[in-house]
Amino acid sequence: MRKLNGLQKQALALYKEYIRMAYTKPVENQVKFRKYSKQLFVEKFNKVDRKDFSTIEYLIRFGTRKLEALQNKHVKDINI
Amino acid sequence: MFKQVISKNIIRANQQYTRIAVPAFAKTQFRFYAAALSKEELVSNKLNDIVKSFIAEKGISFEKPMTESLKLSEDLKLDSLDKIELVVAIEEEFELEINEDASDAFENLGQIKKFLAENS
Repeated sequence: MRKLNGLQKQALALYKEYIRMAYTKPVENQVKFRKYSKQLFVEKFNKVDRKDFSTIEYLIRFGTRKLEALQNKHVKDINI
Repeated sequence: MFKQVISKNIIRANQQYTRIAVPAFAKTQFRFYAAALSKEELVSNKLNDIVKSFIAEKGISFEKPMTESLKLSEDLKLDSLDKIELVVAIEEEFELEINEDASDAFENLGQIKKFLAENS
């Protein structure tokens, strides 16, 4: 297995926070939140070259802000 | 005098009748025997259930038995994001936190079982 660099580890740690956030939502909507998170990461990060550091840094900041919005306790459902 | 004797006998007779009327099974004792599962077996069963429900949710078809040598990447075709989802599902179920170094090292079910047996 290829060793992960610092930014890749940060991205995976952020994804873990997304999945943890999904577990705080109502049980019937947790699958939707998990699917949304996966979709977001696959869509954004898979297109970026692993050495394109500035784009990855931007995506991590973007993802963190989005996560903060989703972590709001009033957000209970999501449309994919 | 006779009236008193008769009335006492009637009372005794009634008491005896009452005793007989108690259902016989009320005093019956039942014994149950069950062999307790070891900690490793409990962890193993719980982990297998988590992995089965996880791959069902992902739509992965896997018919083979859950052996310890089952590889997450090669056999179950899990990518790095799927592995993280599985780790969080395990954390939620076992109510523990798995650090990044430990979770990065997970390649097969046996390694996860060993970690859980030592830390849960």
